[in-house]
Amino acid sequence: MSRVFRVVMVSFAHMHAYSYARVVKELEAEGKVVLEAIYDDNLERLRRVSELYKPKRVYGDFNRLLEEGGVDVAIVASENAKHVKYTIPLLDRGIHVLVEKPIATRLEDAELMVKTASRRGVKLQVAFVMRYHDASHYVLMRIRELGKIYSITSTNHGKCPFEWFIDPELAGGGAIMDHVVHVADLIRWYTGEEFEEVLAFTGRNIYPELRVEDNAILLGRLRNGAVFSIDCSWSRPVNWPTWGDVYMHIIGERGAIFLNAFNQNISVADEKGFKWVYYGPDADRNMIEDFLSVVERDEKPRASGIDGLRALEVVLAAYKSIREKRPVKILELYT
Amino acid sequence: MDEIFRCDVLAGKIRVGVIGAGFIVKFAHLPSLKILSSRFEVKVVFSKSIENAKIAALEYSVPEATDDWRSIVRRSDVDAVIIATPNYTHKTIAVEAARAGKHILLEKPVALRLKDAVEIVKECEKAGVKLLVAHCLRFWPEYVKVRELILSGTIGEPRVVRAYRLSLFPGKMWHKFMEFSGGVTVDLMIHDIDYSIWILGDVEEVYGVKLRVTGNTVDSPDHSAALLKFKSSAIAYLEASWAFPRGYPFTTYLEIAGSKGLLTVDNRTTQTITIYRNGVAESTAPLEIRAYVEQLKAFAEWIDRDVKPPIDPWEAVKALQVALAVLESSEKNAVVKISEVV
Repeated sequence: MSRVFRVVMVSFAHMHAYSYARVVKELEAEGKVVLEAIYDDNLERLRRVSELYKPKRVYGDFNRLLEEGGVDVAIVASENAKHVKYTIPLLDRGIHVLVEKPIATRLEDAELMVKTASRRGVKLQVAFVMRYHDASHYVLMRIRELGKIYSITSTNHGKCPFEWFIDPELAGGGAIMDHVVHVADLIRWYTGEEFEEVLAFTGRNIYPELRVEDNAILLGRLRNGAVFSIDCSWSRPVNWPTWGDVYMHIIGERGAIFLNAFNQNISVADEKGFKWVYYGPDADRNMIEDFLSVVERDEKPRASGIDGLRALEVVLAAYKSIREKRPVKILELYT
Repeated sequence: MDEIFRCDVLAGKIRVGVIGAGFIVKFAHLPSLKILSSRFEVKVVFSKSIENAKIAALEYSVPEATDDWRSIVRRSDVDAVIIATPNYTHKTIAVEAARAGKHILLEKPVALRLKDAVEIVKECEKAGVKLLVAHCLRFWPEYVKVRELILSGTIGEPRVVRAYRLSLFPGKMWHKFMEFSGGVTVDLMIHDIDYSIWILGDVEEVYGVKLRVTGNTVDSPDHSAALLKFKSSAIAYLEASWAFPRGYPFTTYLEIAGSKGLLTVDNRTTQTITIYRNGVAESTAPLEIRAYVEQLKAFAEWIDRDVKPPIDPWEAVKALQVALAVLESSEKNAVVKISEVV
């Protein structure tokens, strides 16, 4: 990267922001970027992360950030429902945006984001970080060997994240909104196929106090007839030795592939208990470096706004399926 | 013999006729009967191929072999039969055995049609014979332990279950046909259906998919996945497959998330022995036979002392009903209520 990009971090509501900021600081130390600014609508958090990451400028007022400008790229990691209100004006001002997943909570928001990026000729990338994880990328390189794909079974389990993730307005839903999109995106990426239809069941909540679903399983079909399932439940207890998983088994006409992306762990027991310490690939770093390279070289992002929109369709079809107790075709979302 | 397998000898030995001499009989039932020779005396073994019957008889020191199963049912010196024939023959053989007053250990699935299953159970009730349908997970060490953990409240109320049963095509001619085997859903997924009902209670509704992946079958699905919603509002994802490639080891996985915790058990990580020989790795946990021994012991205890086994015949009917609902759902592409499957 020859250009030194000026980066603004927009909101630290999503915990992934801390890892992204860590990467930005690493790249800053290597002279590749500058952490130009941090914006957050939570002033207490803004003070805390500013002390931690020491940006050049600090904003508690989004409009002032927009007025003063002076940034090239933005990383938006706000609450899901706020992605649209931050992303659109940034794109409008010619600022390239890497937005946390899911791209948005409503189809119309996602469409507007995609259209705005396209109209302004700037990059909109969705943080589908699994496209940058070495193991899940390796599946892409080998999956052709299986020939025709018949079945993909997947899980993206996690711990209940609480905070705003369990606020129906800010998060746009629960475990389905939070965890379906990563693996839905991988399924599209691996097969080159679009989703056709989704049926979802959600059971009684693990955490009865929540106003959003904390467990659900999707079962459906791609357009080529392959079946897929996604378990997106926040079913890992607080004291589970790791945060969760990204697991898949894929059956094709010439074989099967198993992916267990976060299986590289060291088992550690200390005075606090038992846990797994991850030593696998740093996908966040790979993703942010690639995003900057895409901007620099004016290439197509590995995971674009359209990819974000397609994954969101699966989420919204799952919610519709639960409401209507039947399989829902993706196309029905547009009628 | 190992201490865990030893039992007290009661009145007299249960005299058994083994109907079927396929994989499960050779791998499980005959070796288990041998281990439990203080309780059982095997009189005769049947295979529709007399050569096969004689080989099994020789190998397990059974005095007689036959290719006429009716001759076993008619024998007055046989108290009980083990029926481990292809699925589509269960009904005819079980009904005749019941009418002849034989106690029955019947391989799963109980039958292929609900009305046949009901008929078998009713005939057994009418004849006053004991019918143990071999849903062996109810005796399988990790599945029994998981149930104990659930019952003791370790993970609170169960909410989300995942279970896989992944294998190669079993390779018998009758598996290829839906009308003979019921496909992978009725033949294999029924294990996890029965087990999850045992843990979670009755199923309210299901959604299922089925596929033919390999060219190994004629019209049997060889891959099936299902979502179950229980009356308790718990949900389950079950997957059963015969579609895995050559060399793939038989895989079972079980995960239950509850209101207070989570448990998982994966047979890919619990093997105690791996042997490398002739370029192939063979992994196993040698006590796997124990489940079949426990199953037979439960059968003996029921016959000899009227101790109820952990599976009631009507529960086997219920498991079949849910498996058939999964098939119906996958044909209609709609959610199917169990109460509507008759």
